[in-house]
Amino acid sequence: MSRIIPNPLAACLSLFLLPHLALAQPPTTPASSQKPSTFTLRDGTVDLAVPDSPAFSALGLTPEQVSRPTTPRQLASSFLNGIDRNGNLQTGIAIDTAPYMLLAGSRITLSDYQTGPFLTRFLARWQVSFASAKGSGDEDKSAKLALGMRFTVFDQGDPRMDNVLVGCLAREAGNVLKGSPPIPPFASAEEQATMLQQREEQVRIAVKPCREAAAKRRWNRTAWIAGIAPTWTSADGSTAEIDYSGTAVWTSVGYGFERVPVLQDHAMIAFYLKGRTREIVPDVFTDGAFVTQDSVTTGFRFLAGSPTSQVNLELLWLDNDRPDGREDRYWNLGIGFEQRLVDNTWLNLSFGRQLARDASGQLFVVGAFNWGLGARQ
Amino acid sequence: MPIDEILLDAAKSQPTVEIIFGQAHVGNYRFFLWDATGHNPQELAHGTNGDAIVDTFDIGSDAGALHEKVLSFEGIVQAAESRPGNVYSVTVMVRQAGEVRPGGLIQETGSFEDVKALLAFRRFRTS
Repeated sequence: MSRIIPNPLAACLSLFLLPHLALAQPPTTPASSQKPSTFTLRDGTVDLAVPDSPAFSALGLTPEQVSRPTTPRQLASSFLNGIDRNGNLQTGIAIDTAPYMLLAGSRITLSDYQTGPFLTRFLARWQVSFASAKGSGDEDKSAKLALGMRFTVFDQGDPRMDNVLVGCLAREAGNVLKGSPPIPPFASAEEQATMLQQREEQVRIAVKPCREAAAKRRWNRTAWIAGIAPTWTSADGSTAEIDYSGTAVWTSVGYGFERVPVLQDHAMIAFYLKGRTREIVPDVFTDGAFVTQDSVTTGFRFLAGSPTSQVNLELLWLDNDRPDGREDRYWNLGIGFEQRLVDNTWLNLSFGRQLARDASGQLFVVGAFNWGLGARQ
Repeated sequence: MPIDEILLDAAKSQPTVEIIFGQAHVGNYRFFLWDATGHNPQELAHGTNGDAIVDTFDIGSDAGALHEKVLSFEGIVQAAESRPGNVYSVTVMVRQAGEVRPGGLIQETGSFEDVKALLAFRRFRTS
């Protein structure tokens, strides 16, 4: 089957400027009459960021309760809870941990982290997540598992390396301690707890400007993050029937124009790659059917603005490799505006255009405007 | 509330205290010495791991003079990056002649988001 891959530049131009010509290929048809591809045009934003917990993302979970063990014993206990006495997988497990810090963190001081070898920081930022989920439907006894790993290869916005922030935190906490009377040994447990809580609140208020200033400094710092999450499925929910069911990978590299006048404070470019093998998704060409496919999304994003207001321009190439060989590749171009309202609540306005193929193989363009409120990574 | 004890050796040198804030967090601390009745606090030391000063100090009294007195540790741990599931870990070691005394190891580990205030008491027992 021949495939026509749009030229990127032409695609960009046509997406915004010539929506009804669409590369002079087969005539376009109104979006409303098309069977759209799987890609949802910027429901807020196309989330290509490496997730904090890749295992949860690979299974499409947003668990309400996540186990974050503070000791190796707790970690082992959490894992053991994932299997019952009969060897059946327990679903609804969500674990998130940083293994190196769990094992050696009590001996890793701030100084070790800041001045030690690169490997110390790399391992300290290494995160592992694990999740299990039940198959959909009451009759479905299957269980899904995912083991995720997240690596921060480098991060010039690492808060622990920000000595201005560290100094500010230390100074303000020192002031709170200095201004507090010592807690006497004969104070009751309740009195002690109350005084400690008061100190925490005082520190929280005092360091808020420190944290806000640090966030402004690092919003566009250069960083490289990667994540991977292999998944397994057990058809009957038992450990004996576990079978590999694909892997999700992410990576993102952001460049913050460090030491480039003006741009270092107001711009960033980022490259994204997201892949998924053996993913079971609704078949865009057949209502009610599902298809197992491999998919790759690559993207480029340019951000300009400030820590609280940003305009972004995004170009994505999505390639779904279907077992039946049908064409399911397309470009997406989006432009958006994000405004931080309060803390980590953002208003997002975006407009996207998608160049794709319909069921008959014709190219078409679909556009959508979205807005939303929410938190962001 | 009962206070755990640190056993000191009257024949050995003045005790020293070392504090380690783990997990690469920012820590502030201060120590007080209280009389046997839990009154008249005297500040022994204060500091932070956010500077270049070593977080080890001499208590400044012979072991014999510390008998029955109470040592208090007050600390504040802060995560540079605030988020749920941060782990804190603090270790205080009371040594004589370089060796940690029985009961002289104070360790606390737990989870927090951004700020954690800590408190511990130990009574000295000299023999």
